[in-house]
Amino acid sequence: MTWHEAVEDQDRLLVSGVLLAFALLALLTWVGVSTGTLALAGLAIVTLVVSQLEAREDPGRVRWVWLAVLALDAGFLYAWIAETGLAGAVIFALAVGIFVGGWRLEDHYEANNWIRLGALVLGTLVLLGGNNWAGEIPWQSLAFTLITVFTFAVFAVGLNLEYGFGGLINFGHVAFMALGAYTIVLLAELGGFWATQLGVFVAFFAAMAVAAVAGLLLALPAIRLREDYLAIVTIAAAEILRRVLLNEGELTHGAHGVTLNSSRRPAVLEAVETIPLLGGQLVSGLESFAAFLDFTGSPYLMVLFFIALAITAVLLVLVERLVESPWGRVVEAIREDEDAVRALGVNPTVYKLQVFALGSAVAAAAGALWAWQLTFVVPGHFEPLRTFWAWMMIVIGGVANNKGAIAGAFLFWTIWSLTRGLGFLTTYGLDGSQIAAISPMVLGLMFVAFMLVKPEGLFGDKEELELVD
Amino acid sequence: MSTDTVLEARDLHKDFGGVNAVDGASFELDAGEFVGLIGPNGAGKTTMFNLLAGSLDPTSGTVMYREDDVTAWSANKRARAGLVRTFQIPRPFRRLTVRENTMVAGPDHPGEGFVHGLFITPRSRNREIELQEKAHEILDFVGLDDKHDTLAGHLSGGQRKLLEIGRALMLDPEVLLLDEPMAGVNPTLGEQIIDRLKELHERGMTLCVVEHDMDFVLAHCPRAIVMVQGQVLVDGPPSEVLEDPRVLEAYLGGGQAPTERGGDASA
Repeated sequence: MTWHEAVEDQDRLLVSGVLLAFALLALLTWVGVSTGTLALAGLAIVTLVVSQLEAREDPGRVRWVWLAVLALDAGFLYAWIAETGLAGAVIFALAVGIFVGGWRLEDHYEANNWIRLGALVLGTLVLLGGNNWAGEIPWQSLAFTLITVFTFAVFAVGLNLEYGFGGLINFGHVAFMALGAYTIVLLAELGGFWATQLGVFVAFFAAMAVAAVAGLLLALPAIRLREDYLAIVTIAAAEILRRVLLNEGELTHGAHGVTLNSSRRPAVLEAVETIPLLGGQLVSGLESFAAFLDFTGSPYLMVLFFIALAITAVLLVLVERLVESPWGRVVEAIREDEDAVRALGVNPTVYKLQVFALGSAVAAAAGALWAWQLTFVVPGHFEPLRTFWAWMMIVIGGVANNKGAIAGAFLFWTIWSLTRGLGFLTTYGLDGSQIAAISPMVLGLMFVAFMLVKPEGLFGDKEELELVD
Repeated sequence: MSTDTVLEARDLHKDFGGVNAVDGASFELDAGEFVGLIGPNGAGKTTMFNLLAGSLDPTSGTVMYREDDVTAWSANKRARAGLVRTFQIPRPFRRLTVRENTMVAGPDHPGEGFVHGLFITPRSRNREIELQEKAHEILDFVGLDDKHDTLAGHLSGGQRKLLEIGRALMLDPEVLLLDEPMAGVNPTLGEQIIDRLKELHERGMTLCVVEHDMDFVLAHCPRAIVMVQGQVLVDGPPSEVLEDPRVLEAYLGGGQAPTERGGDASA
């Protein structure tokens, strides 16, 4: 199967799934069923379509995953009907089953990776949500955490494009997240057009464009450097940017940072409403979905969650398409051997510049999410450590695999969140800072364990890792 | 420069911080020639290739390709124009499949542009199909078609040499510069490579081969160029060239004939 046939096949799968889901939603709305049912039905139908298409290719292996996903649907259904605290438990149990089940599909069968990613995402959701699953599900903090996860998933996808596919070692990735975040808040501060709904949309793309141009400017002199030399230059550039932001008083208010004007916040919400045809439906649908979940937090967070989800999904699909295209083939060849590519009539510099600019733009999308989520931005958010978090995510997830980058972000934040709030340890004589050190410690141990046991990462290709010169 | 000269080195110099790897070498290749470029280790053969293909810039001198002075052209521009080289140690894209390796070399692919790749325009799709057919033909020609789905990193040394040639052929080269295509290859694959090169020669391609194996040059190349210490020492039919006392002197300090393979056939 050629590159475009494969991509078109994926497209057909996606489109048919979405169309079917919509058709069913319309039907159910017509007969007057509540939003909760609609959500469940949608989930079920998409599951069904996907698993059917999967099964067509490899029936035996996929069948029980399909069953597990359906069981999860049933779990949601039960939760909805029972309306008890038990619901959390049921979902928890089922999703853990899926979580484990999905991961037992050990092979390099590409299509299964989507199921594995889905299983990880669902598992994370429930592990985080079910943190106090005996009682109520803490939707507010769950939504907040998940927005962070998506932000870093996007951030890691950008880095993976640069390192995993392009072979460019960028230790200053966080600079472009900072540029994206600052672009969003500073444009919002200007008011006028930028406070309108359209302005919010434009600001998002402006943030990506600013970072792309900045990435290009940094890359123009730096890209001829190889490997660790490029790493040194990029980490220095990122630190310089952070120091400038820290010391610049007029525009970025130094260490105080910039607050996303609170009157602008609803503009994000309104911006969604202006999407032709669907926007209004979308917001009211989300609001009723929030009501269905007893989501007591701000609707802003709810909407932002879906915006984050959408941005992650769209960027994942676009980057995936790109790396599967002939363009991506050249980029991967450059990663393998730049001089050989040159000898075959292709100028690698052009591609490396493009990759760096694109990766930077993707990082800026993460920065925009960050700004929208926290509604304030300070230089302290963009310390070099953030870049290395993203490095951990792509290494854990499997280098040169976009789904892996996202899986890495989910795993990273699941561990991080689950090792927070261990306040009860004070009774064992640990003080606050010692307890706070547990998260990075566990993550570090996990990283070491990965290197020892599964160096290719969750979605990485062991065969590729073992190739010799 | 005669009318059918396709490639000419004019008084090329390459100075690596005091070491004159190529020190005023000149020669011409006529269209359709099959030339062996020989010489002892350190004679500057590979540096010469690098200068001709644009992988290195000469300290002074000129490279003429067809009617153009290509001295200032980048390696990629020269390759696109049909002046293609292979590497002494094959440089496959290890984590790409054999077919992907060849496809990277496919010229004029709109899909290798960012927008055409992302949106799969009809132009890029059609070109992809064309190039895929071409890749299969070429892989069939070099005997790797049954391996097209294998990662190039899994290929044996000899297969990598074949892939190296196959990749170069994707560019429809007018002049193909082959840096030791047979070194380190088992005899069976070596025969296969020789067959392929002879067939390319018969098709009219201009071939220039750096080779240590004198028997090969004697048997297959109508013309041999001997380089010693960065300069062209002798240029002519191999049988005459190899009897030239200066060549014997350069190779072995006199005495033994270089047809005994000297001491560096394995280099």
